[in-house]
This record gives sequence, C-alpha cells and structure tokens, in this order.
Amino acid sequence: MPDGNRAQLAVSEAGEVIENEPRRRFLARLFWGAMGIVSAGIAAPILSYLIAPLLGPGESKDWVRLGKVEDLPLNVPQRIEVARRVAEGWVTEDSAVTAWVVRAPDKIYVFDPHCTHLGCAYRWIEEAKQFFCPCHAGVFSLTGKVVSGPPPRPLDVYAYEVREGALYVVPTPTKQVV
Amino acid sequence: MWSRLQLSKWFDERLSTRAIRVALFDRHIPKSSPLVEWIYTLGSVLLFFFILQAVTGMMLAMNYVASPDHAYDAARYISTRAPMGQIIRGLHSWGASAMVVVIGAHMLTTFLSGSYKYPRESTWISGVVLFLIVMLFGFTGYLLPWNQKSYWATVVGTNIAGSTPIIGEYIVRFFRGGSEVGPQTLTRFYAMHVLMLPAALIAFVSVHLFMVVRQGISAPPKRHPEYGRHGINAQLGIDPGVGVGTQIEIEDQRKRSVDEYHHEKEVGESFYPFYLAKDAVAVLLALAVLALLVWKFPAEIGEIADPASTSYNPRPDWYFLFLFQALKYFPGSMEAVAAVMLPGLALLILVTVPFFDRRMRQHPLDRPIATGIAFSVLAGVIALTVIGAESPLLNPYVPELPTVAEGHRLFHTLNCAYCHAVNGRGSKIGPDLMLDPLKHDKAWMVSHLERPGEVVAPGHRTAMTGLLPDESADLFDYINELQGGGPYSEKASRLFYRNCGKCHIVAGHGGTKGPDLSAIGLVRSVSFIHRYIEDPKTLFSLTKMPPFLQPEGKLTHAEIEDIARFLAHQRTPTAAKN
Repeated sequence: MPDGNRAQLAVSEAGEVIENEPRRRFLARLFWGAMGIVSAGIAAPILSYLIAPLLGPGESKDWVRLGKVEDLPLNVPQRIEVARRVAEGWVTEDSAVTAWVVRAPDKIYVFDPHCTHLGCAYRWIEEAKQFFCPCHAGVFSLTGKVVSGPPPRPLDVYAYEVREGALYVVPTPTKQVV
Repeated sequence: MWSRLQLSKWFDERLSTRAIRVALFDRHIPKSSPLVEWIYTLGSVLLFFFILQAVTGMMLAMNYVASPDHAYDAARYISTRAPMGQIIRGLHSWGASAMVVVIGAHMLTTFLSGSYKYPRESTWISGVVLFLIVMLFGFTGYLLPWNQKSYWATVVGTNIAGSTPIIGEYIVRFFRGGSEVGPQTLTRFYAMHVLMLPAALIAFVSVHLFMVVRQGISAPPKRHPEYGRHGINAQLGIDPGVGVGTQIEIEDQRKRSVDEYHHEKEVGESFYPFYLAKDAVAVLLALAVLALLVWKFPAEIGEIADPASTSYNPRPDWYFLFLFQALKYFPGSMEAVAAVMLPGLALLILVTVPFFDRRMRQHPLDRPIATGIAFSVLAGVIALTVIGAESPLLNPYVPELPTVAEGHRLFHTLNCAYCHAVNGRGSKIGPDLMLDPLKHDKAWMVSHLERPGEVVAPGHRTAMTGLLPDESADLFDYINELQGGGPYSEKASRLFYRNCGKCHIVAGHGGTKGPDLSAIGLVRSVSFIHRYIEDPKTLFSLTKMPPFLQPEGKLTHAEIEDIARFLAHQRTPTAAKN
C-alpha cells in the first residue's frame, strides 16, 4: 500500500511535494460541494423573499368613487381627494386618492396629480388658465397638453367611468392617448 | 479573458496574496484522531451560524418596525404572508438556539482539552466575551416580535438584572430606557440587536480568529501526568521543595509543550482541504438539522404583547430558563446571589482560569478536578433547565386561529368598542357582540361590513367605512368566536350529559366532582374548550380529567366540537350557590 501511494506523488507550483493527491482532490471537491449545497440552501429562501415585490400583485385595479358628475363645474379643474382603505404589507389604512378632474363638454379628464417630468405635484393657476409645475416650470394646458418647459409628455390620466351619475376612477397613472 | 492563474498572479504581485493564502489555508494542523477532528469543527459551525443569523436578520429587518404599534403586525406579516418569511424567521429563531448550544459545546470542549492554557489565554478570554455577546443577542432579539412571550420574558429578565445590589435600579433603567418595558425598550433592544451587538461581535470574532490562525489551532490533548504537582522535578530527582509549582517549572512545561506542538504540526496536514472538508460537512449537517427543526417546529407568533394582562405566565427563552428556575430556590433577600452573584462569579472564573490553572496538563483525565467541575456545572444547568421547562404552566394558552386573531386586532384598531360591548364591557350603542345573539349569517355580515349603506336594513346605522373583503371576513370570524363558534346540534346537550354530566353541572344538572360549567362561555373561547376536552393535560398538567378524543377517549373530533360549542353558549352564572 505505501508503494501504491508513492506512485501518485504530485508536485505543487512551488515545487513542494504534495502527498495523497487523490485524497486531496476528493476532499477539495467534498469541501466545494458541501459549501455549494449550503449556499444554495440558504440562497433559495432568501432570494425568493427578496424578489417577492417583483412577483406580487401590481397596483390595485379597484374603482374609486370621486363624486357626482353634476357637481363638477364646466372647464374648471377641481382637485379631488378621497380616502380608500389600502392594505400594504402589515399596514391597512385609509390612504388618499388625489386627482385633478376637468369636466369638458364632450368628455372628462382625470389627471394623475404628478408632473410627467419628475413627479412633482403641479397646481392650477386660475389667472393663466394653465397647470404649472413648481419644480422646473413645466406648463400644461387645460387638457393636459405640454405648453412649455421640460415635461416629455402630456399629463398622465386615470381610467374613468360614469355610473348612475357618479364618477369612478382607477387611480393608476396611464399615458394619455393623443 | 484572464485565467484564474493570471488573476491570482496579478493580485499577488501587488498585494502578496499568496502569503495570505498560505497563512490561512495551507497552514498545517496538528495531527489528531478522527473523533477529535470532528469536535474541532464546532468553531466553524459557530462561524456559519453567525453568518446565517446575519443574513436572515438582514432579511427580517426589511419587513420590521421597532415600534409597539406595528412590531407584532410586522412579525406576523413575515410569518404568515411574506414569501418564505416563515422559513427565514424560523431559521433565525432556531439559529439563535443552535448558536447557544454550539457555543456551549465549543466552550466545554475547549475547557476539557485545556486549550485555554499558554499560549492561548487571550483567545479563550475573547471567546468568553463572544459568549456574552451571543447571550445578549438572544436576550435583545427575543423582545422584537412584541408578543406576550417576548414582552413578559423581557419584563422578568430586566427585573432579574435589577436585583444587582446598589446599581440594580440603574441597570433596569438602562435596558428599558425608562421605568417600564415600552416603546423605548423596543427601540433600544432593536438598536442593540442590529447595530451595536453585531459591531461588537464582528470585532471580537476577528480578534478571536486572528489569534487562532496566528498561534495555530491547539493540538488535541496528550496524557502528561508528569506535569502534575509531583511531576518532572521529582522524577529528575530534584528536591520537591525547590522547584515544584514555581515559575521555573511552569516555564519548563511550556517549553516542552511548545516543542511538542511544533512537532505535531509538522507531521500534520494542511488546513485546506483536509480539515476544511470536515468543517464543510459539519456545516452541511448543522444546516440539515436546522432545516428539520424549522420544518417540524415552525417559529410561533403568539398573541400581541399586553402589558395589562394579569393572566400571562412569563417564561424566558430556554437558554435563560436555568437562571429563572434557580431563583425559585433562593428566598427574596438572597435573590441577588442566584440572579447576579453566582453568574458573575462563574464569568469571573471563566475569564481568570488560564491564570490560576497554569500547569501544562491538558488531557481531561490528567485534570480530574477541572473535568469534574465542568461536568457538574453542565449537569446542574441541564437539570435546572429541564425542571424549569416541566414546571406547570398556570395559565394555559390556546393560540387563536389566524383569522380570529386578525379580527380581534381589527376590532381594536377600528375602535368597534365605541359602539359595541363584548361581554358587557364597552358601549351599549350597538349590540353586545358576545351576549346578544347574532341574527345574520356570514354572507350578510361580510357584505354589511364592506358596504354598510347598501345592505343594512333601514333604521340600522353604522359609522364604519367600507372594509376590505379579507378584513370583513376576519371580523366575522372573531365575532363568531365570541358567539361560541356557531350553532351546535340537538344532540350536543345529550352528548354533554352522557360524557361529562357525572362531574360537571350545566343548567342545574350534573355532578359536582369537577367545576360548575354553567357560565364557562363567559370566560373560555370555543377553541379553548375544544382543546381542553380533547386532552386537558396539554393545558393544565395537574388536572384529573381524562382525555376524551379517540383513541384515548371515546369522542370524535366532530362530537367534541359540538360539545365545545354547546358549552361556549353556557353563559348563565348560577345565581345562588351554597
């Protein structure tokens, strides 16, 4: 048996004699194999926990009632804020849904209240009859079109429906189809 | 692309990485027997558990708030709804216990093999500090889920520290951040658990490992009886009165021991892969055991902490149970002895033992007294832990169903008590949810709670905004539990009197061997009663009542549920009793 081993002596980079080469190779594989299983075993639950927000349900598609259409003045934007119960993680609370609503003669515009440039909250300036964004001076018209400034596209809108004279919206911003 | 060889050469030219690799991985380990080599993997297993705790802890922190109004909900969210959350929480919770067990075993074997002796005294002391840090990790982490168990364990634990003479009160205030366990305690414990203690642990683990690598891991102990009191000098014919026990003799023993160590190291094999392979297998086994525990015994979430509760029976986590139990044997005036002085003395001995036990005898059989003390302490701690675990729980607890617990919580957060009483406690504007019978079924109630204005009959009023579907279903389950779990069958009262009537009275009929149950529905929930009939000993170990569930008893699950509902509806206190 000693002779059998002697035949398998190997030499390392540095010129040292490495004994028991097959045993060394086996144990090295055992080490990397075991550590591989351990790492994979821990990484599996950790990764699914980490990426869960990517796989879960997206934004709510529930309809929210904003009020009666007949209460909206013609062509004067109204900032409407209503509460709805929202469950997120371990917290369920009444959170605000905000929209700028413009009742035009032929249709209703329900705008997401954030500028399409960088998401600042814009406001309606009655004297100018335009929406102004305070961050980088973006200006939008009554129908949400970009008048001047850096915004890349018209104001985003919410899908809406009129049921029995009441205005319902899905408060998820979508790009306006022009 | 660079090959691995080129890459390592590139780094070596700049940072001499080869020397580091040689020092860390190619270092030789003294030869020993296979059994001892497996024992020596305990340190690596401990390091693995530390990494596991760090990684799982980071994940838990992602879904946690250290505030009493959300901490419990967050922990329950992790356990019940976050994908893999229950597994990660289980790994962290069982990992903590595993760490305590393995650090205990690591210290015990280090002590038994005399490895704390010259030249490794400082390695040993850093290890004792690490042990303290791990115990503090356990103590501070236990509070974070903010349930009854963790809250009351912290109340008791901080009070134990408070029995320290003179400075006790200050220690309590330091840990609690005030006079009571409350919001400030939670943030303090959280900051300690996730910021301060990890920093301290990393520092001391680094020091500990540096010393292990720098000095070389200790060799397994050899028999050297001649290092004893009448040792070498006597054999060499030197007058025992001259050199025995002196510095000269000890220095001589140290020199021999170091020479022996260097020889054993030369004939030993390199750390990688010969020893690391064993470490990796041990780590794999440790993870397998942990996974089995997480699977078979999932981490509990319990009930939310209730500082006003008078019925909860506090228990610390198992690794502090021996201390908790020891306090029962000391009268109040002597409490500080068991609570602080004995543990303090034990720590002092652990820290100083390398300095008064200086002879180079390392084998446990050469040191019968030290070995005897180690095993006595171990036996004492195990015995106290077992006795403590077996002592009867005076306040049995049946976990609420998750939906019932959720409904219970909603009842509070929605301030239902502004209008509804429960068992007479609360406002009388709406019906009493426990005493007034529920007139509607689940479907009606759920739609009523979701769309109060549409479903409620004219004349009814509710102040509530619409609830989410899950919320209204949970609220219904809670009300249903208050109502006694739903209707029972016509056979229920016959089943009760035939099986239980010999010992219990309901509505004036029955025997008097057991308690009168005429008003049991006012104090116990239907799930409690059900569980109690199934096997009373699991809830109250001193009871004489036999189990009734088949095969031990003769009732089926459905029959017991029927009786339990029948009993949960018994809410008439017997007016006049002799």
